[in-house]
Amino acid sequence: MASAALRQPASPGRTTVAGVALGGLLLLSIVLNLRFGAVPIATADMLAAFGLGEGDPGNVMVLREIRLPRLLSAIAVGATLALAGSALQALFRNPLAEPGLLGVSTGAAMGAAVWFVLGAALLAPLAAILWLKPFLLPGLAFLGALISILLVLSLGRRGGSGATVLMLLVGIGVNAIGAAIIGLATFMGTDTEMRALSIWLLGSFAQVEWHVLGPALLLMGIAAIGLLSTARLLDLLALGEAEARHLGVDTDKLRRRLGVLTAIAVGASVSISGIIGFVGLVVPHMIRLAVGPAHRALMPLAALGGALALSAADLVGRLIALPAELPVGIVTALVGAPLFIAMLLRNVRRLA
Amino acid sequence: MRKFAAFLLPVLLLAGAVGAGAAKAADRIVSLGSDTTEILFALGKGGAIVGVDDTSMFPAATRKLPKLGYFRALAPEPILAARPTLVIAANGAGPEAVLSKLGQAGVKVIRLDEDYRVAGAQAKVRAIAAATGAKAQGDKLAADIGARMAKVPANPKQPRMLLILAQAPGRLIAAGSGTAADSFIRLSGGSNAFPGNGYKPLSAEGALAAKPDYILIPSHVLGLAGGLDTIRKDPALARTPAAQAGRIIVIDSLSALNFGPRLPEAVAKLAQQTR
Repeated sequence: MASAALRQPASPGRTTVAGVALGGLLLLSIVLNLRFGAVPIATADMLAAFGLGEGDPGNVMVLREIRLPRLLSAIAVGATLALAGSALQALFRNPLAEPGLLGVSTGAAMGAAVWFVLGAALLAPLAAILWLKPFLLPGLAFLGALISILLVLSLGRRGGSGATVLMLLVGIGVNAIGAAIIGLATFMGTDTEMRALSIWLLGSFAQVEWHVLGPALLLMGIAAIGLLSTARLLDLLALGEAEARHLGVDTDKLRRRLGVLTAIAVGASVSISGIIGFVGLVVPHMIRLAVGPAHRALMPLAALGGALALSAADLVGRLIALPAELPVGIVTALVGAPLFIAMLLRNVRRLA
Repeated sequence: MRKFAAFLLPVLLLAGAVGAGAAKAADRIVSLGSDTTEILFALGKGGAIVGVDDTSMFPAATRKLPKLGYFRALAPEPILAARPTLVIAANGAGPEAVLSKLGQAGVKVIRLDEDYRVAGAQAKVRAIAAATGAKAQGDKLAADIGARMAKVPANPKQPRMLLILAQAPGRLIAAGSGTAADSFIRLSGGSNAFPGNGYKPLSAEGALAAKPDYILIPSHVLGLAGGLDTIRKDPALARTPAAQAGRIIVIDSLSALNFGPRLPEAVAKLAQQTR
């Protein structure tokens, strides 16, 4: 990867074309997401939802309270997961790195499992405070993600020059612990709690609400800006860890910064949608194949690509099984995984 | 032109009157839960149902209704697309955020409680009847359930019964206390052979220790479990008294575990099969 970064700097022309194409497709996806769904909606209703003219009040409600928050969360979650994925792949200089591998997603899911199984009993006094209740699940998911990434970072740092490898290995350990705690929670839980948890883990935007989305959007925005601002440092890191340090990059600080930013991004996104796989892994790879590995071009395009991928996947999930709908996590894995394999097979030589 | 308008006006008025009348006379109901759907049909409100969840499979008329998703993993828009005025949600239907969104859209949402007793089944019937303006039918149906339950003869032997579910062949789960299955077993005069709480994985030793006289398997998991033969030969079950005596009973999932109008018949049938 280091030599690749030197050999083929991203051509500005190619980057612009990719940016315009992804932006155009995202815009199309936004319009289609608002326009189509189980409830038939007229163009007049769409304008009315944004305060332009009159529309059917029921349809305007569907647009404002159901489709719009859902679309925004798909865009935000897609963009932040893709950003987190591309940053982690650069940090670990490992094409497999993504929030899932480091145990961050599992950590967030562990927080959710605690909520679903012990929530009613342990957190009753907190849940009784009405305004606090909607924040308990997102809060626990975020806490779980943060604990995981802190474990990975602090234990991994003891590896000295081999810190990166050690962190990946610790990530595998954290994943195992998280999975075991989720398993324990499902064993202890009642049938109802178990099913609620397994459905939530599938990943879906069906239950997104504005009052939960607001704080999550803010956190994801902060994480996205933070991750984007590391692009230059990541380009230097691509030269090699020792080389980057010679060029003045404080790699320990960068690692900590990326860790915390990733925890915020993943915790916030998992808390509103459950675990959605493959976006963080596949999208950065696809963009890298299109425009090359330079992060200043790669990261903004990955954010666009992630937003496009998830909003389009949610559209498919909402329309393919009418009148019911398919959870978006199933769509991304079902479409993303074969696409990923096909892409790898076509580019075996370039990746090797 | 004027002639045409003169013709059109009364037609429009008539159409308006008919439309308004229909809207007042009956709710458009979405039923989320196999028990709520069954009760609505038993109350004669089946015609008002405009959509049901995927688990609503009884009576046969549910086949023609739009299926809006699995009742624990619903999305708001498919339900709103059915344009309901009333949503009846069984215990466990949700997620809760989806139900509250329906309320936000101006749909009346009735949430039912979970209570696996005969009185619980009667309370569900009365609550649904009250919400759909069928109070008299509700009282009658509830009383009828009580009367039919009272006629189920007692089972003095109290046979030990083990009700199992399966996620896949060989991966068995047993119903412990606090479940609909546990309550169903006790109503039929049996005792639950499984000592756990809730639905728990069943080990070979656990099955032996339970010493069931009868093994019950709900009809909907028979396929998942790999059929009756697989269950009979399952290493965890094969050595139990029930399997050795061939006493494996398939029960009708919906009538037995719904705690709805057909509960007395399901209980009576099991009581008779295990006497």
